[in-house]
Amino acid sequence: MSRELLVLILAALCYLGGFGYAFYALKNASYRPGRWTLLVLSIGLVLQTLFLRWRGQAIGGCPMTTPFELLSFISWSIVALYFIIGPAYRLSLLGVFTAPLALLFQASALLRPDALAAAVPKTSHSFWGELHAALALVSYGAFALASAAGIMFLLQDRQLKQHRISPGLRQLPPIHYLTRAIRGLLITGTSLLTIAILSAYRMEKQPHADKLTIVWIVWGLYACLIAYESWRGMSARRAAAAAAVGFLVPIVSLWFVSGK
Amino acid sequence: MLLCLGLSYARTPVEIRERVAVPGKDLPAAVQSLTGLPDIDEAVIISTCNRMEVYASSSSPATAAGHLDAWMRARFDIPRDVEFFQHTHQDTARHLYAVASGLDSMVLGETEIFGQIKDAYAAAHAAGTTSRELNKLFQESFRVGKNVRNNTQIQRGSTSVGSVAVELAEKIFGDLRDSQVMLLGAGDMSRRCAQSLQSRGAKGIIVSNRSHDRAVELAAEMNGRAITFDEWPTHTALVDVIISSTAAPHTVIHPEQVLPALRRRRGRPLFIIDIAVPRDVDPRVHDIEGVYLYDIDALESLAGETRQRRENEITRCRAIIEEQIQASSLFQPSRQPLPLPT
Repeated sequence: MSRELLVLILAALCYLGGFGYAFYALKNASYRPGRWTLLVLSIGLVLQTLFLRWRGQAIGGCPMTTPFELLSFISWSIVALYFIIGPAYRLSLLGVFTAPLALLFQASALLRPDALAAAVPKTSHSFWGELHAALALVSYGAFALASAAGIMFLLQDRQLKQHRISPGLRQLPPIHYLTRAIRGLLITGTSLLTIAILSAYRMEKQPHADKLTIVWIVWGLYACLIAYESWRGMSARRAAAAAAVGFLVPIVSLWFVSGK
Repeated sequence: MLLCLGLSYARTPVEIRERVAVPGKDLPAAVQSLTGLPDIDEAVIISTCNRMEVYASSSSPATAAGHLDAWMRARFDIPRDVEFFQHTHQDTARHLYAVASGLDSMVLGETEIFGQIKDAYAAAHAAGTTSRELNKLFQESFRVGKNVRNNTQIQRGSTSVGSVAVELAEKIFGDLRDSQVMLLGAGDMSRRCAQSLQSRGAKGIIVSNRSHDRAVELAAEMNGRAITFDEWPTHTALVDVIISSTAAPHTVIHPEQVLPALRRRRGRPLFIIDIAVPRDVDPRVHDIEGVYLYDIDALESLAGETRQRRENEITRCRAIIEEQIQASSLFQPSRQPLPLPT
């Protein structure tokens, strides 16, 4: 087994462990934010960063040339964004929901047949092409976190409406913070995706028109959501549901965009 | 040997408890007078509104208990028919650990007692009335208290209507320092509820009452401002929490009043606490997205669930205490207690 695969498997195990611990602790209402989850997410992030570095050196550019690399990069960006966004919105528990998301993407990458393929060095480099791919994937990471925050909101909203507070969910962040985080993440993701799309038009060899259309659809979905929320107003619950379910669109788009 | 003697809310009425209260400034002199008694080597006094307990160590516990009993009765003028509870050796530790864990408190699992025990021990330690045995006993009690609270649900959740309201408000808004509260009606219950929110940082109290004079009075008391009863609907968009407790025989808050205000809140939730009977708020208000309506039954029910959950945790807490007692070097086989006189 290559060292690249090894670090990714270890990262996936970290996320699995973090999620397992958090799930167990929340179930028993003994979760302490900022301890194990933070530690395992940090270790997972370092391991994934190592992979991206090694792979990048082998390729001679950004490691986003295969679906395996794309999925690994998204997993990495989800955790990296968590460390940036989490403290800003006082959402310590978002880590609990970040771990399974990162695990999902990393495990999907590892299960792909091209995970075992060796890195193919790039013959040509395109700054705009790499910027396009990197920003688009980080924006998907932001949409993934918005989806996680949306699920957390919906869980709590449901309990508050039912006049119940279960011991496990008692530790979730306040719904008003989640509302702000969802909005912030959607704006961040859409802004990054805007730059990513504009970068694509600066590439010497532009991506296939169908792929660009799909990315435009993803962008359109989130841009409309933000615009509607800003101009017409939208209940926090609907915004959360849209962020939670809306992430299915970027996931499906990956299927088409990452295809060779 | 360790021994403990005292009284608490469980068996002693407040008329007696208030007599035995020892103010913090008097604690050093009181514990020193205890160690001045025959056979008392070390002493700590825990005096709160719910209990007065003397912990001591003595090489002759049988006679020491008699001296403590006499000291208590003489100092506080306690009649003979009032009985003190007594514990010796392991039972002393068992009792103190339970008290430190909040198991012996009026509100099961409350945390204030932990700080009170720490203060009592610190006062005795500073007065020079603790040594090897009581130092170890109290240090262990702090460890057990923390262990119990961290590893069980004995202190989780809120057990009163006011604290449930605060917990819910924090669940919705997080930091309450940015939250505004409006009181509809100037009843005592809503005032207490608002004070609980204020104690957690809520600001900008607005009071609206059919009797405007009473609203002005309450607003002044709470450092807020009064508005006339006709004005309250226009303020709904500005406040985060509404506490309603009017004496109206019909509902006063309806969806038609809340919906327009909600549009202006741009997604910011609204928490409505209806503690009036009959209810002030039309239950349909709860169906509006972004509005969380809790009436007195809903709040009581949540408080009751927490109390029940805490009751269910007692066995786990006792097991942790027993574990500590078995492991403690204070209670090795060579240190067997002597029986107390009956």
